[in-house]
Amino acid sequence: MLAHTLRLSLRALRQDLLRSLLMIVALGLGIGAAMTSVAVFRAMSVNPLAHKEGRVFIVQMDNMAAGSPYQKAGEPPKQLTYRDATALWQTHQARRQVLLYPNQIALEGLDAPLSPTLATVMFTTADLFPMFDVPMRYGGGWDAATDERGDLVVVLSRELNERAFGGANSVGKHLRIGGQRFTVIGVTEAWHPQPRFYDYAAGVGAPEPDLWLPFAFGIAQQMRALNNDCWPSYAGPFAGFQQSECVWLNLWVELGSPDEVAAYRTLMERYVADQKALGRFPQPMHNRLRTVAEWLRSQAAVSSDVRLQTLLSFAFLAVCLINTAGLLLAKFLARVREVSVHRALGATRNQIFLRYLAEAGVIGLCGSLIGLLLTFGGSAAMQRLAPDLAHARLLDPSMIGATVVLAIAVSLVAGAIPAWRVCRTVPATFLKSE
Amino acid sequence: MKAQPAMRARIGPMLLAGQVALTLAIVVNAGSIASDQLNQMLRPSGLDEPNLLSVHTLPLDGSAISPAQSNADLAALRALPGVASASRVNALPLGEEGWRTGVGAKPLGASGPAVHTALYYGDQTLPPAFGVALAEGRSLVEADVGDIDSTLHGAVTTALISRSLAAILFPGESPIGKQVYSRINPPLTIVGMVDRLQSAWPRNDMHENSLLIAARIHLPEAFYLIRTQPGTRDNVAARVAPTLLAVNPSRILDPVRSYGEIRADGYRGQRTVVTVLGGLIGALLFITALGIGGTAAFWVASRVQQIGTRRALGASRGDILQHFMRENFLITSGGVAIGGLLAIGLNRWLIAHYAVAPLGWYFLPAGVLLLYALGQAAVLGPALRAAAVPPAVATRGA
Repeated sequence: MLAHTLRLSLRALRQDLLRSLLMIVALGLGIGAAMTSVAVFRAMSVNPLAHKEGRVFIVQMDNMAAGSPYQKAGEPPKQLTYRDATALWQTHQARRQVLLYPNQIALEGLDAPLSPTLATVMFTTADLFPMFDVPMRYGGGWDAATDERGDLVVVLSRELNERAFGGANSVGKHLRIGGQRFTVIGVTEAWHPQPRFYDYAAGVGAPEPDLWLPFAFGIAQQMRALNNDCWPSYAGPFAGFQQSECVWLNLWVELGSPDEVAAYRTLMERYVADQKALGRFPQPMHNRLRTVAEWLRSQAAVSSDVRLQTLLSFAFLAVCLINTAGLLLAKFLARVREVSVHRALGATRNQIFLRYLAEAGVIGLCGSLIGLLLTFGGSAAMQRLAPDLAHARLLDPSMIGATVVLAIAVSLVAGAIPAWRVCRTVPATFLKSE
Repeated sequence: MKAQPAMRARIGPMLLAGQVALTLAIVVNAGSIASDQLNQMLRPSGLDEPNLLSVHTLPLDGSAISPAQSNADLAALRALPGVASASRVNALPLGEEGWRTGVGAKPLGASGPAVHTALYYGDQTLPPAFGVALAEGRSLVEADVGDIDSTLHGAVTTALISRSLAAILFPGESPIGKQVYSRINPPLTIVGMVDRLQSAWPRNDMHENSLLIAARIHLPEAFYLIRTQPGTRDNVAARVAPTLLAVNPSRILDPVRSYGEIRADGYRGQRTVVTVLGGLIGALLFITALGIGGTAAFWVASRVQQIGTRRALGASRGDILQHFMRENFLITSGGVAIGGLLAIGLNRWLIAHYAVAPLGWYFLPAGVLLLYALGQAAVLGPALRAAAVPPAVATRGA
């Protein structure tokens, strides 16, 4: 029965090939636009550290001046001052804790044939590698003792290792960084969490890190961050900068249990209360201890452009749906005599309804193929247009499945109205006029 | 007689009118957002962009590039044939990284509102290298130029101001001779106003606000601006890197960029929005034209007998053609009536949730005209086919 219905549907499709093709293309365009925007939306709203959700937190405290919030009232700055970040760090009240800030630094090859270049560097501390589960290709990160001693060691990104050492194991080799001789102790795998949650304050278009260097070296070199927000403005030497209200550091902590989380919140409250006693932190207490998911949500990781495009592309799909419904209706009504004969020969309304619905379903199936092609093309185009999506994986089997399901669902909805309309044909009306 | 046959199957015209309504609402709003972004992209930066090159350099050891060192570089660049002027600056308009601070027409208190502005530092060769147009007062001279170190500390006294910032700080007055206060510099005396000098951040509200401060800079990096004579830019571009490396081979030298490339990078976000929305509008109009034309074709096919009868009863070809065009006109009218309301509602909602600009008055009428034209064009083919049905069809059996 089903096979027979499908055969009839295909024949109906072939009978009016051109217009059926137009319907298929229209439906495919709608599906392609909608699924491309879903793919982009999904890539931007993904949590790259989902397996550690609830254990890894970013620390935020509000040191802004009275009456002048950082961006909106009640919301603390994205980053911390040097004195606050290091003060919390020195309590060692978390299982793991990471200080982090980005900058750029001169890089020369010593053991590598590399022309001098400006490299993007993350200054950070030992716990970063285990806390964020950074995959290592060669060697590993450094330990807490290295941080304390201030050893000149570096972890390279896989991409930089390709450029400098042709992808070979470079552990133990040397590079000149910021004028000093560094020893390579590790090379990461290609690691591009997207969105790049760990230094989100740097902005979505910021370059990927080439080098990971000990935090203490950056401070010793008096290097500030790429993004230093100073309110009130500060212009002066580094020692004063470290004591200023400029926010430029990220502090991440890993906490193992709800008790530890509560204890850390208490620690932050006590710290801010102490600072208020010293005349700092004039704003109300706006402490935040956010998980990665909460952090990305608070920073509107899905930009309003993308949300708007998603909205409009679904409105576009709605137009395609109405379009298909209208065309199917006109097509079915053109065959209303045929339906009358079928009904007169004993076909039930249900049979007529299902037969015409199946025809719509076949169009949906064909439309889903066009939609898939357009989703692939559209995603590739979006990755070219938006560099922050370059490393995101936009399409996976679940997206492909969802595309096919959406296309068939849309075409069935679009087919339901016309199929319902034709199955209500009264046999006598049209037979009489014969 | 009128539009009877189509109206009998009322769902069909309703679907088409609904499609027209949604199309109008989306096209008008997407068009308004896209044109808003496009207008931002078309704003002039105030620079002589077609003839401007830029190159970024820094020493390997992180030390500052002294004015003496940058002057040696600049002298070599100025000696190249085709170079009109060259200068050093701390940041590039549209370059997406730069310096900014809050300033006021009076000394700033510990907190309180200040007007945000971009800060450019350079000596008297900078205004001609930018190619900015002086609107009032005078340009910088050597005597104006102070010194500033990497901590932004120093003795600076004089600046040029952009027209947009001057209008905010000194509304209705000439800014010439006025003082501008900030927390990071001594008070600056304004000696000249330029028509335009944009900031490094094209998406920012303060994009047109800038100060060009007369200073020699001692920073660990330098942006060199090279303004060329018309037609020589690409020849000069090829010689910049060898020239600078001949002065000092031990340095980091980023690729030379034309201002077209800097502008394209700076407006990447806007360009994405315009491309995506433009594609969406095109696809939407295509689909709707397809729907109108396709539906009309089915209607014509199912009404051949009636058309033949009408022809046999004396209706002319023009009558038949008109019938279908009028039918489409009625459906489109219903669609744009609902669509107009939808468009305004959608715009209200977008203003509340996405901070888009209100619709310009001309978007809705333009959208309505576009959909009428689209509908009439799409229905023309099927209508002509209907008009070509011979009266003899009426005499044949169905």
